[in-house]
Amino acid sequence: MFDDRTTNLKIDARDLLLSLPRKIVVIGRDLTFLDANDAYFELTGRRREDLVGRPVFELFPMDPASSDFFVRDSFLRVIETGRPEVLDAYYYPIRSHPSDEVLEHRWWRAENRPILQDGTVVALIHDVEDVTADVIARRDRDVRDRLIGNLSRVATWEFRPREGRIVASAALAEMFELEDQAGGGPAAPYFGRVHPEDVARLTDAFEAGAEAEAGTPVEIDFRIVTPVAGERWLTCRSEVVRADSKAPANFIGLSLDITESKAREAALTETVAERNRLLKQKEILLGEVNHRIKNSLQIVSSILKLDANQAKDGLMQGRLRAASSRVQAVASVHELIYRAGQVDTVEFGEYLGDLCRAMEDSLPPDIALIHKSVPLRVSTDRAISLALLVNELVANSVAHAFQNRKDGTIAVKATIRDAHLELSVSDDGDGKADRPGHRGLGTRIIAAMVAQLEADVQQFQGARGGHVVRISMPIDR
Amino acid sequence: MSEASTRSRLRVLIVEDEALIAFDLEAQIEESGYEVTDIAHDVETCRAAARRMLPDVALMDYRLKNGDSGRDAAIWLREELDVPCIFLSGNLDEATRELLAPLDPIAFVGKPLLPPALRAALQKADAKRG
Repeated sequence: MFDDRTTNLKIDARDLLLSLPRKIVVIGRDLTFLDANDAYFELTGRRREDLVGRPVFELFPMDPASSDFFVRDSFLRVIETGRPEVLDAYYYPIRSHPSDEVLEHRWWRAENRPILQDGTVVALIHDVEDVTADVIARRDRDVRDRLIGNLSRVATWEFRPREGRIVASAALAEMFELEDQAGGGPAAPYFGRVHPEDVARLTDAFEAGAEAEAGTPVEIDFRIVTPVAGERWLTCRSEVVRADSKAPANFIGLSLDITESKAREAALTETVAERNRLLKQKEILLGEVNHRIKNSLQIVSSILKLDANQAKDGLMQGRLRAASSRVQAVASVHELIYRAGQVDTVEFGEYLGDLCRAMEDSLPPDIALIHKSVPLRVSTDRAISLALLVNELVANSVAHAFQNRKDGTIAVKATIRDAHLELSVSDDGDGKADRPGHRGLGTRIIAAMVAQLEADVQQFQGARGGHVVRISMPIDR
Repeated sequence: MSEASTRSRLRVLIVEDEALIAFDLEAQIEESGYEVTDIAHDVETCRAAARRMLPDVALMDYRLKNGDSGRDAAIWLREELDVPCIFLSGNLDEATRELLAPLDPIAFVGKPLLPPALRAALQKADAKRG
C-alpha cells in the first residue's frame, strides 16, 4: 500500500502496476497468466478474461523461428533460482490484434523478476519493452558505418585552393605515399607528387574550376610519381563546391588509379598504328607490283614494236604493230593503278585519255585521235577489257576508214545514259558501216570483249558520214 | 585400218573465263590435232555446252567468273557425264589438289601455260579414253 501523506492520496500497488506504461505480466509457476496491466492488453489486443488462467505458450505459441524457447527457458530459470534475468533485444513477431493475419516484426527487451514469498518463488513478473525502433536504428547505423568504412578505402579528398590545404582520405594518402593527416594538411606535398609534365595541366584545371559556379565538374587524368610505386596514372573526378555563391571555390572529389587501363589503351593505340603501317605498306607493295607489271608489259610491247620495225614483210609488220598496241593497252591500265594507288577500280575518263595519247603516238601522222569522257569508276577487270576493245576499234578505223586519203579524225567518247556506259568510236572517213569479211584476230577480240562485258554493239553511219561503233553496257554494280 | 582413221579426235571443252586466254588454249588444242567442242566461262555455260556436245575431257580453270569455282563445274561433269578434267591454275596448293583428287583429274597444269605441258596432259587424256 502506497500512502502519500502530503496529498492524502492512497494508491493501491496493483493499480499502480496496472497503469504503468510498461507492459507487465504476472506469470505463475505453472507458466499460466495470473494477471497483466492495461499496457499489455493494449499491445496484444486481448482482454483480461482471455488471458487469466491460460498457459502463456498456448496463447503465444512457440514458433521455432522466434525466441519462444529462449523466453520460456528464462522463465524456468527464474522460477528455479529466484534470480532476476534480463533478456536483451530478442525477436518475437506479434499480431496487433488476434484476428490480424500479418505478423509484425518486433524486437523486445524483457526483465523477468521473481516474486518471492518466504524465500520461495511464487510467481514472476515479465516486464517487457518494445525496442524495435532502437534495433532498427542501430542496424541502420551499422550499415552506415560499414559504408563509411568502405568509402575510406576510396581515395576521396577536399581541396581548398585558397588555404592551400587538402583533406584527404587515408586511401588518397596511401596512393600518394604520404602521411595520413586526419584533419587535413597542406596540399603542396600532394602536388609535389604530380608528374612534372602534368602539373601545368592540373593547376589550369583547378584554376578554371575556381572561376566556375558550384557543381561544375572538374575531371582530369594525370600522372603522379611516388617513391615506391613509381609512375601511375590517376583519374580525378571532382566538383566545385562553395559555401555560398561569393565564397571561394573548394573541390570535392575522388581519385582512381587507372594505370592499367591507360597501359591497355596505349597498347591498343600501338596495335592500331602498327596495323595502319602494315596496310600502308601493303598498298605500297601492291602499287610496286602494278608498276612492275606495267614495266614488264611495256618491255614486251617494245620488243614487238622493234620486231615490227625489223620486219621486211608489210603484213608481218602490221601484225606485230597490232600486237604491240594490244599489249600497250593492257599496260596502260597497270600504269594508272600504280599512279592512282587504287587496285580494284580505275577512273575510266582519265584512263581513256592515257590510252588515246598512247595510241596516237603509233597512228599515221595525219590522223587525229580525240577523246572525251565523263568521270566514272570501273573495275580493273572491265577496264582491261574496255582498253582492248577501244584499241581494236581505233585500229579498225585506222585500217579501213581512210582508204582514199591520208588525213582524218577518230573520236572516242564515253557518256552515261540510263545507267549504261556508252562508248563510241567514230571516224569521219569513207568506210562503209557494214564491213564484211573481217574475220581476223581483231574481230574475234572485239566479239570476245563485248561478250565478256555483257555489252550491246551497234554500228551505223554517222550524221556527217563516217562510221560509228557504239557499245553500251550496264555501269558496274 | 590405221588407228588414226578408227579413232575420233579427242574432244575438249574449254572452261575459262578470260576470253583471250581461252582463244590461246583453243589455238593450242587445235594445233595439237584435237577438237574444241566449245568455250564456257562459268558453271552454267559449262553445263549447257557439255549437254550440247559431250566432250572427252574438260580443260578447267579453277577460278571462274561470278565467284564460280571450277571445282563445282568439275564435280558436275564427273557425276552427270563422267567427264574428267585437266585443271588449269596459277597456284593450286596441296590442300586444293587433295580436295580435287576424288574427281580423278587427268592432270594439273600451271599458269602461265607452257605448250608442252598442255600437250602432254591432252595426250594423257587421249590415251586414257582407251
